[in-house]
Amino acid sequence: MLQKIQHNLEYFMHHRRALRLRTKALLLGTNKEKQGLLKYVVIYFILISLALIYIAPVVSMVSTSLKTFSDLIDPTAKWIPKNWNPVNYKYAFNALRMVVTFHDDFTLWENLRRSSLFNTLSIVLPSALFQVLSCAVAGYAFGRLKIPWKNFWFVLLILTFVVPPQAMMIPLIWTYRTYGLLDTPFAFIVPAFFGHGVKGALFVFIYMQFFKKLPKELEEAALIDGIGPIKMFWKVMLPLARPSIIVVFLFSIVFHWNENLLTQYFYLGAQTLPQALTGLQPEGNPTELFIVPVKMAAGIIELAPLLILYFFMQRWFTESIERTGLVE
Amino acid sequence: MKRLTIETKQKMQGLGFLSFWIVGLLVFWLYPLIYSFAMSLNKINIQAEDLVWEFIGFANYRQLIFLDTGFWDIWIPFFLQSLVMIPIIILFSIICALFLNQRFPGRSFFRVIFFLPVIFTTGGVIISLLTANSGGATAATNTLTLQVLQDESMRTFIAENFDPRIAATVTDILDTFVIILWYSGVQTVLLLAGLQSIPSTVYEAAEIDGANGWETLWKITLPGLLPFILIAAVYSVVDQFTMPDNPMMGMIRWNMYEGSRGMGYASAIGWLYTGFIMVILGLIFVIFRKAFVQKEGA
Repeated sequence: MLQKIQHNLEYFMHHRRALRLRTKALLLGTNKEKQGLLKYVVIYFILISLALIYIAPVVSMVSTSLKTFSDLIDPTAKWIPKNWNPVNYKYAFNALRMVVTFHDDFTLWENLRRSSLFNTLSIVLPSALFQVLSCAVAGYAFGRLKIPWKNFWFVLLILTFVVPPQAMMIPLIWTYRTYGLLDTPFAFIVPAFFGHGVKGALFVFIYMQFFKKLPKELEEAALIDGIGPIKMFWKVMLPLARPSIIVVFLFSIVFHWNENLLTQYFYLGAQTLPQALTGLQPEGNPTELFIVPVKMAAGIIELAPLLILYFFMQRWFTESIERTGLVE
Repeated sequence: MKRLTIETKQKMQGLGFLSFWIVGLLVFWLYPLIYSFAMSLNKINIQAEDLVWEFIGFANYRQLIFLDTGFWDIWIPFFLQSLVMIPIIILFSIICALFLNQRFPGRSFFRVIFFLPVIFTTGGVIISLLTANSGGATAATNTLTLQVLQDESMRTFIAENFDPRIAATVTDILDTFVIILWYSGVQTVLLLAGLQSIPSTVYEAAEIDGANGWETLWKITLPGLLPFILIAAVYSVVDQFTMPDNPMMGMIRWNMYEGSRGMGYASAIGWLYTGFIMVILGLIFVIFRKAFVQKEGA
């Protein structure tokens, strides 16, 4: 036994230098391909701590949404509620008015408009679809075509993004009223159709950057084949733009779904989901109804569709961001 | 008919593609913008569904700037808060992007987490999170802050040594520190895309010249990232000042149907506010231009 230790010790002393070098290589890495452990440790340490900070409010939202009143004031039950109280979700669901029982006195449209889920969906889906296409057309023109006074239009594009909607809110409401767009989803769909709408300039910009990067040979080859300008866009350019389409589509859905600024002005007679969430007034048995957990539960319900969509699309999404390069 | 030159023909095609966007621009942006400026120069009364205009020149602005304190009472604290928040957001998103750009197993998992706030921060959820965590919340239940930032002695130090308005701003920021980090989601995405655009050949050249990681960061990565940092800064400013729970919005809406002031006055608030934001953006551009010039000079 003793001999063995002695032997090992001798071996160690003998190969000290080699061991030290090997340890160093393991920790710090030898070259670009084989990186050291130390670097990974640092990266993981920082990213995991940041991720925990990032996720903490979400976790607390989930845990608060399941709490009873006694857990709410109990600091030892900060993260894990002692008594699970899923009834909060029932109250939240009812208070959000996503599903509405039909009234015979109302028309179909009036009935549907009493559902916050319908109001949100009727804004989100058509607007996002139109923006994906109309912003692509504008972005293509900016990125690849010759346009008279291009710089002038480009400055205006930047300004539409930068000028806050506050500056023109009032006439916008007033003109929408005279056009009869107010209180209908068309207040969002029509601008989206023309390549504007919620964060439209950002999407035009994303497309523009993408189309700019495509090689010139692409057009030349297509021109030799005698392709017209519309076909060129529809058959050649747009199919290539798939990464940008994914990014724009996801962003557009998220921004429209969460839109809470313009709806305050445009939707007065009906409620969208975020509006229902902000003005949440749950009703129920006062001994088991507490506003904070119910509000958290409502927030989770409101975001659930977006989270599900995100987790299904995230693979495409993160890849797309790398491939589009987004901005240059 | 005279045949068009290729040049004109191409321009017509371009204009054709852009025509939809231009129509939208005129109807949904330029028209309301001009209309709103005209409104701000008038006193407007609503009488039986009609607007009655009365031209008063810059009187609305004069009253707003010199006579009423309401605007300044809201703008100054809001501005101070943003002044602290925006650099934090940008710095944080640069750090996040730099780390997420490294190659390591599990990278895509972290990316999913760091893009997640994009979904949370744009909607009503953030407002309910903020209200739930302010007021009644104790340090034990508040998850929007870090334990380190809740240190009592630091807070008393701030309260004793600064102007009360600044002290309130600082403690507000400390209380909702995590939310500030949350606002950097889109910026991280932008900067990450920027990092990908720096060609790998430059890094290889630096390595051959014997630059270490730290030197590469300062001499290559950050200068190459500068245009993207500019975009992220502009985005942060726009995002911060068009937030739905923004106090300025409430003020405009409140004044809009207020009898004695009305829509003209509310429009003037909107324009003054826009003016300030433009000045801030202008300053950012000037700072970055200086940075660009220095880079080229060196």
